Amino acid sequence: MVRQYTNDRDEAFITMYKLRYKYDTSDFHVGISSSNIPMIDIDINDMYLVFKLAYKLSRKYNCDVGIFKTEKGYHLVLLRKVNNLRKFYYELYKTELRNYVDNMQFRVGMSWGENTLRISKKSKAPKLIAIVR
Amino acid sequence: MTKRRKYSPTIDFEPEEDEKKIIDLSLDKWLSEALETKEKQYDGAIVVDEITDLERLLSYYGLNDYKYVVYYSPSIKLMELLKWLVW
Repeated sequence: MVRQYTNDRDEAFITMYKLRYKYDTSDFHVGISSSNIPMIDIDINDMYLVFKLAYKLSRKYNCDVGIFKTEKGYHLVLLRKVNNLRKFYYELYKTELRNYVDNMQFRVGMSWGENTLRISKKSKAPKLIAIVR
Repeated sequence: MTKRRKYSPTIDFEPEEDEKKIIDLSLDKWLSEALETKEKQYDGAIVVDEITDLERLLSYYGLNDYKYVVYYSPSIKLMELLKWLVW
């Protein structure tokens, strides 16, 4: 996986276009990466779930949460700084997101040093559909 | 007498009021102030995907501790895949 980091915006885009030209593909993109700002990539097209999660995170961490619509799902950006991003993701993984983050995906992502928490449909997780009394 | 255990799958979340509040706070509405002051910074910049919106958002909240990353993400479209399979 090719990853090049830079502080300069123009440099990033020039690098992207150079790589696109060199390898004759449009598969190179520019993104934003931060080791302090939590970003959650949700590949589930469930608006209610995303707003619910955003609301919970907003209340729990006392901050605003930005929601972006992507092709596959949504991006959540917590608008605050966090000292230890990995610890923060681990807490989320163990609490709010326990039914959505795949164990192996989480471990691999963190070991690769990713600054984004990825959420996709977890097939094995049981989902509450009703309570009968 | 045993006490019945109370179960609520959506703890402290009231979608009727709170969800509306969040939806009302659309990006355009509360970023409009930021755009007025920050618009000049982005004159002539390349607008790609959500980068610009995210930059504006982070700038608005005074969060400037980030880097740009160029990454490779191959995308094989279904039609291209079918084309390959047919050939």
